[in-house]
Amino acid sequence: MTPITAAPVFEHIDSARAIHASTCELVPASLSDTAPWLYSALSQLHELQRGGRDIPGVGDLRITDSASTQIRTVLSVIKVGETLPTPTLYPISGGAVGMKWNVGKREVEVTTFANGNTVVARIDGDQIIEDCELRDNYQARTELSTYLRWLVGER
Amino acid sequence: MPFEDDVALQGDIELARVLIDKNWWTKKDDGTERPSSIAFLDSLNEASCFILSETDLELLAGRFPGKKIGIVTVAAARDAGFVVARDPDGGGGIPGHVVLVQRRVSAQTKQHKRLAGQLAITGRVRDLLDPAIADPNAED
Repeated sequence: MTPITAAPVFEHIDSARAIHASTCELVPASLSDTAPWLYSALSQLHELQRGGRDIPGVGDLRITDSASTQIRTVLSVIKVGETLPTPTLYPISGGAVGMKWNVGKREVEVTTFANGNTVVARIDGDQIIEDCELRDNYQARTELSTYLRWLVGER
Repeated sequence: MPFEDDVALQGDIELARVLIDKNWWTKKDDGTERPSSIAFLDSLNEASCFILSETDLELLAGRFPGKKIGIVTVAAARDAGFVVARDPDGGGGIPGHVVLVQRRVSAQTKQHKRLAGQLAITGRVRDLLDPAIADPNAED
């Protein structure tokens, strides 16, 4: 399987700039107004990367470069103008990272493994409605867009 | 050396996973909690757990103050495609350490995540220092 590319085709130049800047240890404050969900996601990712450590008895919570690149790529394919709830990012042992959006019982969950493989799922309550592995930027954009529309109740 | 399934560990033997992050558990409709799929998802395919009956919960609580544990059985882990391998060196000096290794499907795939979810849904969540766990024979 080929992970989605590390050099994404950005949907929106502002998000491209913001996400690039975030790799340089700063999250542009201007994003907090224009795309609070993106600002929050990038800030949380920073915190996870800074705080990650290998914990005996739990696992390695240091997010790999592949995983952090992929989660940024996923963020980059969402239009900055989208009105979305703030996602939650969290560590997954073994160098992976997860991100989820919740609206009521609905959830869209992105799991980026240490090797960069990325799984996105839409979940209703305890039930996985649909899941898929993201193989390229086009699929990332279309699938994620479909899932997020479902999340916020749009057809 | 690859981890070996410990076939002596069977059935209702309980395994505890330290839930290091608040997203590693979730609330059910009835208000109780269960581990979430990511609790048993390890990208390196070595999810650390402790055999509840062999570990030292006070040591664990000292190492992870205020944390909860997710509890599943060996049988549920095997049903979900995991082998249960002893790993005495991996627990940071705390006894009863094992790793869950997914063998039915490839690691780092959606199938891996689904099976971690299948295991998680069977589990329950307790505080590390819950007296009912620390000493199940304790009198009220």
